[in-house]
Amino acid sequence: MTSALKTEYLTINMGPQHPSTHGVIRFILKTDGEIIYECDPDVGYLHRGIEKIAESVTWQGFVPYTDRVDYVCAMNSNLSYCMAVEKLMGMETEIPKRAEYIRVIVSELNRISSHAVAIGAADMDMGAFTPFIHFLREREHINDLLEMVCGARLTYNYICIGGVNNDVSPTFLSKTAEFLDHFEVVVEQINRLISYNKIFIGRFADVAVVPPKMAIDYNLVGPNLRGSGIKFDVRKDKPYSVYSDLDFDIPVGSGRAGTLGDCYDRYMVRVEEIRESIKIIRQCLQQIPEGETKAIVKSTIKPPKGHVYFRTETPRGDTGYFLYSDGKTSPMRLKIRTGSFTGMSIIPEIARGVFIADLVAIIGSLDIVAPELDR
Amino acid sequence: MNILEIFQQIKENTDAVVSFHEDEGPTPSIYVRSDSILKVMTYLKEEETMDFSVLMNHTGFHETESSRLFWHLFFEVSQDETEDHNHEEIRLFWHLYSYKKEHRVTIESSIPIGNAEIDSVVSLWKSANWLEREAYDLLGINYQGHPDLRRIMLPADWEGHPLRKDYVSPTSYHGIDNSPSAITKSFEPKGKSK
Repeated sequence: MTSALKTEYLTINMGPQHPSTHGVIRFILKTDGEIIYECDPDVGYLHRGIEKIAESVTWQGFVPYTDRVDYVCAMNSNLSYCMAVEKLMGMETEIPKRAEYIRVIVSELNRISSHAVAIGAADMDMGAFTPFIHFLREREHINDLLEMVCGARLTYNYICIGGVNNDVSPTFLSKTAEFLDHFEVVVEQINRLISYNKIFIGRFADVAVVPPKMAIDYNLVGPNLRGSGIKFDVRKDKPYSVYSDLDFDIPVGSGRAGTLGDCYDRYMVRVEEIRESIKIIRQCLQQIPEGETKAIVKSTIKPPKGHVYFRTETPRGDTGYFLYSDGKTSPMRLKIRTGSFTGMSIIPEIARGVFIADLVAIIGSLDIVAPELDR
Repeated sequence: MNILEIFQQIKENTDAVVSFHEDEGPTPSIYVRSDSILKVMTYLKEEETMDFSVLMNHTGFHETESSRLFWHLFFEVSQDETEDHNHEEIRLFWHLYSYKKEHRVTIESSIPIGNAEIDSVVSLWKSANWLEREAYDLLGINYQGHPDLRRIMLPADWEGHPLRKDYVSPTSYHGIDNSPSAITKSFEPKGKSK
């Protein structure tokens, strides 16, 4: 008998309400048994039209919306937008030094909390629930600190065009120093708990390898790019604010558990970046000068006609704000190019031929945040 | 290499129609006529002295009042003679960066709103794929040679392109009422009648 069994690909749906997709993201998977043959991400469930809203609010009025672009690191989103507008207005040298240092302190604190969530969520996706709870506990400390600064715990609206909204108290600075001493130990504890765990490494090593060339082709940014071994960080290579005065390293992936550019490399880059952020904040606490915290800015600004594309390093990588002003009170066009967007666009390529369970590892290691992806 | 040198190189080594543009904002840009965009992009990507390995961003916007900045590239007339044309257009921007040479450049182009077509650059940078899909979805630009030009943010059956300035929000979608409430209407600007 020659009649062979007929096989065909099975199309299955994953999401949008799936516990491991970190928000509302949907994947249409064409599978051959347990292996993914084709993966088509369906995004846009959280598209709120923020870029359209920007065209009808004032320049300052858009700052609270940047909180909602990426609520895991709202300070960094605030900073990106405000610095882009300052660049467009040509007032980047007028920002008081104290404001610059406060900006760096709060955005690095926010980077730590964002990476903590990213690492914790990646652990949770791999079936280890305990580290996630530990990280959320630590994140509460950071939320408390940022609440001391601006009264909000998640959407801060603290950094404004021209500086920061209000000065920080000496208590905040001393509490931050206390927290860093405490947290530095915790990072190593959690590393011992999960990062060096053999089962965990088995799930992450050699999965979804992104070679350096592919990473550049798809414009991966931030920790995902550095996980592929490319030493590029906007804070170091194109320094903005006071980063040029600070001393810190850029951790890159080296294939420490398997191949260069695998999920484990991307994961470990984030762990090490937490340590670098601690280093940066410590230096800032020592160097922060007294003085004003806000430059004189009109209540309604009208940047001169022109365009700018400004990049800053947020936890999810190089976030670019493209602004076009036609000299009016609101932007003519505002476009946000985020790290999650490019991170998501590489998934169809690297998810081919992996297990369905490994797709969860890929999403976790790329640190995709749905609101930032859809805007 | 700074942007002026890059401009000179493009002008010398390709037959594309380009012009240097520095009177808008802090970053100067190179304006390329829309029919030679692929030629210039290929040169910037492939040429060793350029080596623009990454497309950082691509976007555009709907310009309702034609700036008439670049009309001398299209027509052999002075700008005064084109004054009465109401020429709506879509202005496009590409931001390129080179990790090796550490230089960046802004390329600019424009296409008429009635015939919004331009060559796709997906064959050069894969990151252009989703960026162009987004521009197609929100601005209605047709990219020639794009492998998978579908809507990305909005549902496939959505009508219109929201980031165009003449876009009107639908009053209902699949039976979901979206007409403005009394509160929304109270915020609308009132006429200047006394």
